[in-house]
Amino acid sequence: MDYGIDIKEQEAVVRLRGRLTFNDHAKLRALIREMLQNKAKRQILDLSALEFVDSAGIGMLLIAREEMANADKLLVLRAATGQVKRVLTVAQLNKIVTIED
Amino acid sequence: MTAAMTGAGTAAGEPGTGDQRPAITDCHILVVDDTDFNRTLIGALLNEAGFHNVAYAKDGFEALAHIEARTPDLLILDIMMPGMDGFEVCRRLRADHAYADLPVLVQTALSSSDDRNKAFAAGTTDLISKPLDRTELLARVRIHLENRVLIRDLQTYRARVEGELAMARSMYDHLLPSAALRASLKESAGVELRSHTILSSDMGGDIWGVLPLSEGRFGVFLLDMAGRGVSAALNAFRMHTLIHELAPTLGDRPAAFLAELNDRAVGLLELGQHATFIYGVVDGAAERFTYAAAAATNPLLIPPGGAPLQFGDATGLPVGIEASHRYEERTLPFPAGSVLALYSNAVLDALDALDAAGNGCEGNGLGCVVAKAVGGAGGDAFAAVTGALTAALGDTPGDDHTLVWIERGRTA
Repeated sequence: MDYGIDIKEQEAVVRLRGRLTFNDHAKLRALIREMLQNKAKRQILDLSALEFVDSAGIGMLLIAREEMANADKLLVLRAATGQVKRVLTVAQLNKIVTIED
Repeated sequence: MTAAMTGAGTAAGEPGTGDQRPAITDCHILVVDDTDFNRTLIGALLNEAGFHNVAYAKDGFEALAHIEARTPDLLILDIMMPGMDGFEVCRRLRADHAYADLPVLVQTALSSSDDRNKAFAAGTTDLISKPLDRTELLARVRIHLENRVLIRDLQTYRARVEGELAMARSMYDHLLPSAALRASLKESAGVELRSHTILSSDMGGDIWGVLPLSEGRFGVFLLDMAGRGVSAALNAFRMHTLIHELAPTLGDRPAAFLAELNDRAVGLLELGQHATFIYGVVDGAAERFTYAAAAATNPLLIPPGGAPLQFGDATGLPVGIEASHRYEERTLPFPAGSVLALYSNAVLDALDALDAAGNGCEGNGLGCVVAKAVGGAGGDAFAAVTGALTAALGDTPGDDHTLVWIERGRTA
């Protein structure tokens, strides 16, 4: 997995690309630090270019959600497709995370 | 810096062994030489450099006898000796598996490359030229002993880890339903319980089991911990304990069971750790499977007589994320003569990957494999499915795979 961040006035958009798995733990920790450092209230994870997420990847997204909440920020998962969208749906994550199309 | 340099002064200006280097001066060194003078000289050089655990042999026979009695960490071997020469000693050592990696330094005046090659072909680790040079001798002794000690540490560590993992796997096996439990379920509920489990080499987080209930009913669960490796396995063990604690009071009510399990798991698991889970009650008399699920794979009902497969809904928030979550109770029909299959996500992924390899069943590899297996003339559908799974996975799966196959007899 790799990512790019675009910081605007009100929101930061992080575009995730590739596969988010068990092996990306350190990378996602670094990403969470970056998201905490910028000033935007809304932290958008754009998942449109993310091809695959495993159970550990879901765990990392939930860590991100918690860390944002602790810093009074909002995490939004946006534009998931394919396998990623299926996993989010099966796990009913829309009940605890803001999910946008 | 200055203090360190002052403190590091060693005898006769030899390079110090340093704190980070392994302790090699305790290593046992065997010097084999037919000349008294050479043995004395080498011994003196080694002693002076701090090696105090040195033994001597006068020829090849004596050397082999000594090695058999006490394996040295390093052998310093002369080539030209009466009786059995150094080449032969080397060959015999290398032929014996126990000494395959014993470092052997051959001291030789042989200068032609043919002779040096002959020494290496016989299994020599390294050469020391004769006449002996003190600095060269000590440098080679040190480097080979350090390698020896480091490799031995790694081997010890590796053996310990493998032993612990083997023990953990055997503990895991004991958690799964025993043959006696399966036999008693066949008796009381008229079902044949079969399963296929492949553990990844470093352990993982799948676990399943059955909870016998009253009136010929029983509960069945399948849990898949997020992540992999030892941490996932430890959490699976904890969850297994929780499940059995809840069984006597909530085993009859899948949704309540799952809600309580989730509440307990939220307190137990760290952030980022969660599990997918399905728990259901098999009720043969009512011909029904009543279940609750947390982001599990869809339970599969395979009806008798080639009727279409039926997948149950298994969406739900994974276990361990948020307390006080309510789960839906759902049902699947479970008529006599049919099969109910539960499986971990890795099974689904593996069979879907098989599907992607091009056998023409869009986005439903599992359904495809099962339909083919059931359609096979009078064969064993379970064996056919596990066969396909093994073929798809190869020998070293990266994650646990569990398939639970519950077959209701026709006359139950």
